[in-house]
Amino acid sequence: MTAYLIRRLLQMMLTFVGATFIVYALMFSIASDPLQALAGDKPLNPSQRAQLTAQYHLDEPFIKQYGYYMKGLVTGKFGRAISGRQIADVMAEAWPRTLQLGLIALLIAIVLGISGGVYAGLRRGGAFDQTSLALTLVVIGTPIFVIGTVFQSVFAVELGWFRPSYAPELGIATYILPAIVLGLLSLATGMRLTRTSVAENLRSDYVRTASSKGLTRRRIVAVHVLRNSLIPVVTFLGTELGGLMSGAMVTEGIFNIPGIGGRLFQGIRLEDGPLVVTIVSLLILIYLVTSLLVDLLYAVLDPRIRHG
Amino acid sequence: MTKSRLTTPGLLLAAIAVTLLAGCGKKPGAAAPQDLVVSIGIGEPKSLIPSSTTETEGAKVMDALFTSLVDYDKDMRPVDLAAESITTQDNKVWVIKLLPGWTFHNGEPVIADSYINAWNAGAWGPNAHDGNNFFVKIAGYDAMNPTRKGATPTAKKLTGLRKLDDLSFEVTLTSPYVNFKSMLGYTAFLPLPAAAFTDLANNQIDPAFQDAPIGQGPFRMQGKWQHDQLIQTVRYEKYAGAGKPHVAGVDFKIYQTQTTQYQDLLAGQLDIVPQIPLENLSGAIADLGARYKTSPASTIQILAFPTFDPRFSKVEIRRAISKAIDRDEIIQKIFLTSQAPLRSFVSPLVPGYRPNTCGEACVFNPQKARALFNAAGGPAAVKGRIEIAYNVDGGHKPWVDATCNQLRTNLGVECLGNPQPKFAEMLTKAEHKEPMGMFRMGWVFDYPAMENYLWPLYSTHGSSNYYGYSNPQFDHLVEAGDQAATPEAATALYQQAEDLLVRDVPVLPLRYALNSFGHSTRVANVEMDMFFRVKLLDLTAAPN
Repeated sequence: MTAYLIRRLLQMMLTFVGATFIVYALMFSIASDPLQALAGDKPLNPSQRAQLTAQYHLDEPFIKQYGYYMKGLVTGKFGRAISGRQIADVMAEAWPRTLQLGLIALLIAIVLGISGGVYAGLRRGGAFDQTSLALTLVVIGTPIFVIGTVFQSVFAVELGWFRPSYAPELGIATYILPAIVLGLLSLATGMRLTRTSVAENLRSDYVRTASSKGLTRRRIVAVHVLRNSLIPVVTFLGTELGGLMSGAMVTEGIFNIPGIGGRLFQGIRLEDGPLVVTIVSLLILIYLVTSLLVDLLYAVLDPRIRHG
Repeated sequence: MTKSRLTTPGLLLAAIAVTLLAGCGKKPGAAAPQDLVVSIGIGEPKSLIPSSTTETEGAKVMDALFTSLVDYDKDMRPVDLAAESITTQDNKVWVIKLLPGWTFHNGEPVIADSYINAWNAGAWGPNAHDGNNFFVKIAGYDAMNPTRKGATPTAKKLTGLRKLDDLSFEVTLTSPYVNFKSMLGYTAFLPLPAAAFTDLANNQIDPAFQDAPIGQGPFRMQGKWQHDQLIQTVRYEKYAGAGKPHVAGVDFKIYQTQTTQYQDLLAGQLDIVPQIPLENLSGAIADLGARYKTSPASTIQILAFPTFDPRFSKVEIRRAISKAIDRDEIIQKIFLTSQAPLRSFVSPLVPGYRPNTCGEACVFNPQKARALFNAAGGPAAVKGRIEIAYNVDGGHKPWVDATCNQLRTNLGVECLGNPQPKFAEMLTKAEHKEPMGMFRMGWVFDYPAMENYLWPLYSTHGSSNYYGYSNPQFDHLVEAGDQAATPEAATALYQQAEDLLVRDVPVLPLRYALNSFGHSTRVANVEMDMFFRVKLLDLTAAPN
């Protein structure tokens, strides 16, 4: 187990460095003139351009720029975003918000997705199963932008149950509507997955054996079916956290949450390599950690799998 | 299966609902008129240092925290505001006398040094302030701004600034400039308190200053700039200006999109949306009624003909294209009259503006347009196709497509929009003389003067003349106007210069922008100025 962990951690480091390099290279290749992008429609005066070019090393070759960036990353100095703010400050403000949003969305997806899926799987072909199938298809087929705008108009503006935009004074409650919108797709997918898995397992041999041994249906479902049915669902939802956070850009925009989505969008627009790479690196880190956790959870759920 | 398991989703929904209702408890109560705090939607400012605030979002906040030396009367002529007098004999040496009794929000008196220090810091190249270019006319600027890479400035102070006494100073320009007083209304010329500096001699401004700027305006900061969220200000009780605020404070709420601002206005969470986005406009006219308003703003939209593109080298072709565009139809159908047609080369907001200087070339007439076009060679002259380049991040696609449809119908030539990811990329292409067709441009003035359009847009070395128009006679007339003895004499020369543009049609004037704004039922007397700013001193609470 320890050997496995060490191996995985080493792989993670390699993946991390490789991924940041690729993202930095991509940003470098699309950047035409970050300073002009920052200045907008107005021209930049020559003395200001000379100053900023030197400050951000914009005229130096790619490998040197990457070197400056990695040096900063290792020494804990992220440097300045091209908009002038310290990247570390931007990260410290934005990440907690996106993390809260992503976790609440994930929680909604897990709780509603699994319980709905189990119920639909147990009553396969029933009214709930049919309606939830129709609804999940609608959700999967609708762009998140449309869902977000409609939910904002209906539940926030018309009904007044929520605020249409981020309101820090409400605390965690301000994330609920955006989290529902964000988590809806994972919820729908998770629910279909659980439902199929439960329905399949209910017809398997070990369930028949268990019921012929005289176990109660409750015990069969809760202990045997659920545990086995959750394996594919855990894999899906586990890796979903990273996806939710990188997908938060649209939701954050609609609900005006000042999280990393907005910063990432701004960074790409301003061709701000260091800012984009810092955000993406952290996203990669989350992907890596969650997939490691999922693999470890696997072994707990399925005793046949042993990491050695 | 038991009952309890069945109801889990229901229980969770109930739990969410309870949390929500608890969250909704806080509603703004009915405040006394004087205690009203008005919320205004803005985008995240780039900077809150006066000499580095050149975009409209930061300028909205600056207008609350600072008061400029001059304001503009209804004819757009400068009038003294924080200044007692601004006088000159020759338009080259200007004496600025300050009104006594003004104080910064930290108690420091506003003196001549407050202006001199702030302008020196703004003009000093290594600070790389966005407003740096505004000091270029003041003597000593060049020594502070070497353009060669790696060179260090040879001076740290503008030689053209001289303190006369505590409340007056003298500004010497490199050459006479008749519009200098108008220019002083711009954000870059605001003062700074000594508290803003860590090292006065070296023009060093405390990096923390812009998170809580200290001005001498009608409102002062409450707390710090909460990036991407909120900037709160409260009424400054010792404000020395003639007008006083009628509300207790202004909250600038920072939004990523204007659509969310509008949703918040509908939900009663925001008082003023300074610019209602196009997609919400038809809804706004219905939802808000009299609370939806428009007023003139200074942006003009033009289509430029790159001189390096041989397709547009004939002036007849340019005229024909202009005559084939029905400006009014696009404004009604696409912009729902939130913009107005422009048939001159400067905005209607500047002194000296004359309507319809473009004359016949800007009058929609499809028959004449087609005849002119065919006489000049027809579709073959433009190699069978006209293109209009635009930046996709600015919402320009609908009107560019509509313009192309008109050209296709009225001239019988293929026309296509040419989308570019960013405006900066269009500029790069223009610099490298890559053909991309006609391209769109917008221009916002910095201060109301004809010259503020004529020089940057149409002169040979104009900072935004990306299309390469060059007419020595035009350049000469504008320069002569700048050095004229009186504003009236200057206007006459500027108008002669504009008349040359009519002959050459280097660009097509299309539209000028209106502020199209909406407000809540809590506020009244909501008006906006030509710089996209809410007139904060006019705001009052709505009568109950």
